[in-house]
Amino acid sequence: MPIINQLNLIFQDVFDDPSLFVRSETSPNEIADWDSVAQVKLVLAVEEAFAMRFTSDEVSSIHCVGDFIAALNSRKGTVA
Amino acid sequence: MITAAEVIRASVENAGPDLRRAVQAAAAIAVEHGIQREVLSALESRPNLATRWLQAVLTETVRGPGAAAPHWECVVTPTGCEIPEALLHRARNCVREGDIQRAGALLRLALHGAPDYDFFIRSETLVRKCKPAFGCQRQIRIALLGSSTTTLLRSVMESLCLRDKLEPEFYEPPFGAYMHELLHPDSGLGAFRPDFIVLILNNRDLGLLDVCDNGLAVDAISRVTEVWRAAIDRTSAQIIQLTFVPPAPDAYHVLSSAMSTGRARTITRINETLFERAPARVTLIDAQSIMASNAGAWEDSISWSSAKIYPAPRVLPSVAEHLVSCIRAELGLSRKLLILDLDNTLWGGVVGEDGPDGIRLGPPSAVGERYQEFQQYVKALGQRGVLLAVASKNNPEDAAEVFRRHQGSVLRLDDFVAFKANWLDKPSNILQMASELRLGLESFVLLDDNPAERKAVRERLPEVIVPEISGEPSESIAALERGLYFQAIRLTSEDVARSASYLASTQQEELRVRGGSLDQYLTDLCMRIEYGSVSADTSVRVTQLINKTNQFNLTTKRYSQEEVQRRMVSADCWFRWYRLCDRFADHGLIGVLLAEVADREWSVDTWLMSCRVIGRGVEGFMFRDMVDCARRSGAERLRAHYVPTAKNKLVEDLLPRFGFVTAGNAGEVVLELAAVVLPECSFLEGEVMQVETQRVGAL
Repeated sequence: MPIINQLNLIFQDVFDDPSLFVRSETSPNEIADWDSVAQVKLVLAVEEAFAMRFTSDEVSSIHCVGDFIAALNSRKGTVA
Repeated sequence: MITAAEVIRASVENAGPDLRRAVQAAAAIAVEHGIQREVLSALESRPNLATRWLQAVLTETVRGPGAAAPHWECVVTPTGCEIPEALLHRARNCVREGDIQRAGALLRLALHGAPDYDFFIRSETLVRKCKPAFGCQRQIRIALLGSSTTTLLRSVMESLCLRDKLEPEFYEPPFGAYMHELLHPDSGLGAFRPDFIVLILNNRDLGLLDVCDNGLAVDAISRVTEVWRAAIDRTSAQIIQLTFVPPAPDAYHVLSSAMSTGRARTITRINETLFERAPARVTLIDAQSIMASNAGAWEDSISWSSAKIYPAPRVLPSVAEHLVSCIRAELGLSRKLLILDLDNTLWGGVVGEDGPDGIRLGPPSAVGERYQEFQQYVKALGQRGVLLAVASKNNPEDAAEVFRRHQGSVLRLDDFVAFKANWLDKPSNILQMASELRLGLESFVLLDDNPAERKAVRERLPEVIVPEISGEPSESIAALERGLYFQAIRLTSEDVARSASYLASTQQEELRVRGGSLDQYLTDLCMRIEYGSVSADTSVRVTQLINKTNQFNLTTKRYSQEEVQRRMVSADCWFRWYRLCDRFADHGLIGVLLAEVADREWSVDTWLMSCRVIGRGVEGFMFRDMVDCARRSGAERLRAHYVPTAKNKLVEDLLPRFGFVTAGNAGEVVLELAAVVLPECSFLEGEVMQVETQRVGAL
């Protein structure tokens, strides 16, 4: 299961919408509840699920699902 | 040749402590390669927690939520402890199937299980959706004022409030605007009329430097006390605040505390001063004690710089638990009775089999010492007003023998207000305790190492809190420390004497059985009543009684400390307290009567009595006192109203008994003072003394 499917589970949980299906381009424009508070929660939930920490630069540059994926991919096979 | 499915099974079977992540990763690989069925059959053979968990996840992907439900039910630890993660999953499935009630019950259980912050993020929307299933009994208004983003704290507090049957409404101005909100008469805060103000400030608000002269500290303190004064003047809310925590990176290292001008030392001094100056309306929570129970850092610099989040998200659950426990305490909703199992809960081993000498309690056994520490902890709870009871499957003599004779036992038989060692099932024993002690099940906590007993009590008596414990004594302490079920924000002399008073009730039962007539029995008790007008000294206890008395309570009106104090000084209110002593115990302040006074007519607003002294004729005495005073003021009649609740059937006929008759309006009754027949209270009179300003409130 690629990263996006694992992210999808987190998004479904946070927005409590089992029918939610995110794509790389999915952004706050598509998900009405994705506000700044939800953003903080998503960051924390992703950190928890993947046992990693984002840097402050990364946190401020996450604008869509793809940005999460890029940040996670950059850590594959390394110590987060 | 080992198959891919077996590799996956091995990866979860031997997974480390973070099972959720291991299971997720394993499930991801199985799904990606389409070998879920192979993995499922590989999982059949060796079940442990991780493999059961993976089984549930994969069954869901292959056969749907319905087929996975029984597998999720099995995701419990070897000691039978429920796991919040699995409960959340089951709750989600219940909602999907339309069973909101069951989902609510599962979520409540999960929220009692001290889940981490990640759980709150992923469950909060679901919890909100299940709101009707939590059976909220009370609405509360909470204003969150802070110099940081309080939204995350609000969501956690909301979940915990719903768990505790409190329906919160929040007021949350933008961060940093708290002084404006407090000082401007037309701010939203005033209109919101909060019951509670949670004040979240941090060390940055103190304006300190690495090295602080005394002037800085004085300024910092007055900055905080000004906030308090504004909050007290503008609102009638109870204010709850955490103490300040020194910033963790401090270039002065140990010097920061060693130097009297160091920042850490200064902050400690500021906290100390704040505790000394805090008025009754302010509850300070020591942040250090919250930190002690959390492994992670108090602040997280990235969360702070990117979103002004304070404290760190990972400590929010325990911060919120502390805040909500103080709210419960203020509302009189703290639990009152701790019921303890015996074998492998209060000592190691089984007394019925090992004998009193064979159990592990106290040195030299290491685990015995930990059980002894647990007993000391329980004893201290008892000494500050928590009632203790025993419910255990045992021969009564075996069980009592330990408390009578065992060298290592800190607890003695007279520490318990109820002692049920027998072979009845636990729920029945607990129900019997409730009726004997006249206490509601929603004031009970049960500690029991046996998962089957815990499950039985949870299912039959869902009001009782049953924390997950394994029997390891240090874990039992940790469970009580986490849950804060017995939180108290003020200590009254009644709290300290409570256990003795309940014990005395049991001895009175014996007297009642031995003695003859009711009058004779009452006379034998040598009762003495003291009474007077509610004043500053008595208002704390009066507020406590008003907020937690359910049974002998005519109207069940609840008033905050502030509202009590307003009525206490109002010329339109006649506001009395009553205190009872007898030959067995000083029961403390046990009755409250409040009437609104008009020219011709007094209207009974509140009439209540602690359930400990029901059946003593005290209500007759209270009635006489009221009639007396009303007559002297020139009033002609009393007006009253019985407001039925689920618990106050006891006072249904109280008013008719004293001669009140139905008036025009529904439920309202009146009594012409000219026609009053005063009840006999000879067993009380003679010993009566009027004490207008007797100090009985605080210690």
